[in-house]
Amino acid sequence: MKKLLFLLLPLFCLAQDLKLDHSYTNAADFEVGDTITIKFNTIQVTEGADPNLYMFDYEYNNKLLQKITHRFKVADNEANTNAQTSLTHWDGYKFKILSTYDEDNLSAQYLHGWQNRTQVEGDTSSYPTDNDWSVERITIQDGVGITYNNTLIEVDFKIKDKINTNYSNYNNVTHLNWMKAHDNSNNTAYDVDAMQQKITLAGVEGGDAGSVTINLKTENDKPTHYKYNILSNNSSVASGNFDANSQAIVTGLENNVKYTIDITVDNDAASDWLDDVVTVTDVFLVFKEAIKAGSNPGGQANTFTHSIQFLLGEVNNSGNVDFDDSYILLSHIMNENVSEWFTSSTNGAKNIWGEKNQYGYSTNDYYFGQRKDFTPIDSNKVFDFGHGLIGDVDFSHSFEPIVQSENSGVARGVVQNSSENLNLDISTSLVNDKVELVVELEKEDLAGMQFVIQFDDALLEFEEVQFNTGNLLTNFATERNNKLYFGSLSVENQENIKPGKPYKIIFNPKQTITNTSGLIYFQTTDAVTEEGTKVILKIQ
Amino acid sequence: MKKLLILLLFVSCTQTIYEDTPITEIPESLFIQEPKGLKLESYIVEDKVRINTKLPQDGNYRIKIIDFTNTIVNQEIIKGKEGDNLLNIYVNSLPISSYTVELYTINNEFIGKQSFSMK
Repeated sequence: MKKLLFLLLPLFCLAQDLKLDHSYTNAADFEVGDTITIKFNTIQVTEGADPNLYMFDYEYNNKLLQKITHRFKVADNEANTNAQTSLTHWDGYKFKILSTYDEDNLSAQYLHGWQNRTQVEGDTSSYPTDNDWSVERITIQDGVGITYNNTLIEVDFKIKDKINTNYSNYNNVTHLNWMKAHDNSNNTAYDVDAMQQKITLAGVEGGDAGSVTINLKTENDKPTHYKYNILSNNSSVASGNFDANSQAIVTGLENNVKYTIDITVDNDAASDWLDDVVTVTDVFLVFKEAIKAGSNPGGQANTFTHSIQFLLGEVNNSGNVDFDDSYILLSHIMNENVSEWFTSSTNGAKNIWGEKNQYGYSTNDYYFGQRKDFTPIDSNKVFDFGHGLIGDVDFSHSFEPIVQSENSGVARGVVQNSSENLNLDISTSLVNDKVELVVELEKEDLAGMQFVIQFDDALLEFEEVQFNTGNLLTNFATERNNKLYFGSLSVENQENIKPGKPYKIIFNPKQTITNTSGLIYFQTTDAVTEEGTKVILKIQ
Repeated sequence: MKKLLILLLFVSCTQTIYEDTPITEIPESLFIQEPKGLKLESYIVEDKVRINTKLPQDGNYRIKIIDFTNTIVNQEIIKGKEGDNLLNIYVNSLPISSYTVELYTINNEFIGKQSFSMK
């Protein structure tokens, strides 16, 4: 009996059907700046396991590795020439392993650690933010089983210098997070374990001690659209774009030499979002500041909480923030560009920037704290610069100045942190052969709301917006290409947006459609209360 | 007796009426074994993908499309019938990425979900 139990034990332990592996293909004498290739493949464990769908996530340390490119190889083998492939990339996230399952049990981590994570009590976030890590999701499907032992995909990385990071070695620079392996023909899910789950690069040599890191500080999530130009004696010595982690690693600079830096938005790259910088919140804040309403309509106090907001809100080059500025910004959200002095797709970005701690604080030398110089020395080669955009008084796309708290700690984000959240119901449906988008609102103290939606203009034609917001509100709806900007603002602050169904958008289908899922992308939303508090809208 | 004959004649001449129930042909790739759920025809999507929403009863339901940051980027309310409902997810307005499709009752009770990646 005891022998029988020993014989059966391995059967229970060997539950996995296949393994996912990844490894580098280069010789292991690495130097900083080298390119390494990491290949991914599967290994069969259980005979008959024949998945035709793979979906898996892996992550890499973006402070130590810089991704260059990838090549799918699965279709190179004769059995899978028709395989379909997809790779999706996200920066700034790291998988949180669900500790109730083994880390290397990739199928359990998929099912419980990711797919059904919201059901795990007290631990619902599978991908908390982490600036040091980037995640890639690889999906491969075929009509036949995907063969084992062949390379599925190769990914090339450049080894970065660890000198300006918090890492002392190159241990565990990659990690296999989870995997779904499925046979779609009979709906069979397979158990997957990791083979080599993490890659360590041992003995990496070299590194330029003179490399300097410039960190871009902005609330904008498009750091690659920002350019830097480093000058010495008015001559450019280095230039380029910031990377996806808001960093520029610059070499060739000299110690103890003062450099200046220009940080500007690339208007061509940013043309898609420049019109989203100024929203109803900015208009409302500038209007409240112009009438000196302070925290209540009868007051005589400032609405702005940072002096740099007077620079960001001055959009007609008059030198003051007044009614004219608020009407210029209001005109912008109503699709009229009546001033050249603020950020929009017509005007381009109007940039301000300065060293992070000085930014926002005027001195005789630095207007609104725009200190643009830095000097590398042996003990300091990392420099942080805040960046702002004229018109963006709510800092939605700008760095908010650092505020020193009373006990000398640093408190960030007076404006951003005072925002509140609001759940909102937005849905589309097919009604009498037309597509209707309806916004449902319960909150009663909203003075402004703005939505940007993107629609499939091959299938839909915009017809109209039906407003049911109240009698004294200024409503707007603007169609630009396949985007629709709509919303309302209580300019005189006399009436708030009426709860209920304030907005109904009607589209005409250009061809027969069965339903509306995916036809409209809810891109951005913005709202502000009558008190001037920014409201983060969360669609339920 | 005469009356009975007339009645019999009427009954024998009456056309049998069959209720015309439409039968939805469910392709194997969208077949759902369970009494309710959600299934995508493909996990890599270009342009659009067919889905099957198998519903426990007639009524209104929510189809939500959720991005990597758990933000709802699209939500449709459908009027569904009990059993299989073949629909589409159109993806051309969505940024290229990977998404999760979730099916709920109108009162936000979860029924099923699937993920897809865009080509």
